[in-house]
Amino acid sequence: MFSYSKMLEFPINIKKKDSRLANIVATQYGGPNGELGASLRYLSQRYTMPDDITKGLLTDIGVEELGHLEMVGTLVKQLSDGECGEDWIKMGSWEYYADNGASVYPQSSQGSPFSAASIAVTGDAITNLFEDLAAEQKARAVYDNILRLSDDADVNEVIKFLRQREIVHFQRFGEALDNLQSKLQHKVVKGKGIKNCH
Amino acid sequence: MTKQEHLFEIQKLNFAAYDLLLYLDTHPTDKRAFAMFGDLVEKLKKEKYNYEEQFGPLEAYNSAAFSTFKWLDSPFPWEKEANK
Repeated sequence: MFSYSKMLEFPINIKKKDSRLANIVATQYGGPNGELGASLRYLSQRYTMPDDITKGLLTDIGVEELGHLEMVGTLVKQLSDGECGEDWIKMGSWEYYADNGASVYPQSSQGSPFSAASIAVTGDAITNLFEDLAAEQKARAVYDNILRLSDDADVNEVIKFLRQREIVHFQRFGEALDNLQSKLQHKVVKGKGIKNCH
Repeated sequence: MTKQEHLFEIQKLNFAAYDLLLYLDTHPTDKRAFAMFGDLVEKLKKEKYNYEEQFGPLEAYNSAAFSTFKWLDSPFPWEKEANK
């Protein structure tokens, strides 16, 4: 089962309110390349993975992604805390405010609510790992986009940390893929987690 | 005790402790409940420690207490072998 540690993985202290940036950053909370999808992708894929390394790695990265979800939620909260309607209008994010007020909601920056359609869980271990490698690159690219949209040093320090983690996860998934492919080749692991019934 | 029996003791203590945690969330000044919570958490810690010594880590960082990295050892909790 899961337990919660009452701390962030990396400290967050945003000094300047910016509801527009909150709207942008929220996409990594519940958007197509965000942390909620990342966590659900890995924690769902692990049930059919055929070897101990991928079962363990997907569990551990899936859990870290929940910590990242909390970090992105913290960014949205601190950027928008207490901002009133006219601030959101002034900053051009009244659509976000209309549904959610100054709070944290899992949606893309364009307003699509979180959808599991943005994640793939195929039952094929190799396909899953390629999905994971692509997902880490996509999330890294979104953090790069956010860095180009934001000139807030406090926010960017946190975004850079999250971006780095995408790169580390990509590296680890690559190693797990190489390891599993080699085990399949040498028949140490049989099958990619799929049972053929004929 | 078998591994499964030992684990079930932990699951019982953990459930009781967690249930009291929720109660305390809405009754934070209930001294009797807080004392019960303390006893349960203490027992749970001991049981977990004994279980881990015999059967391997329940939590990732506790795997540091072993001479080798046992965190990846099967079975994982969703597998039948872990629930027999």
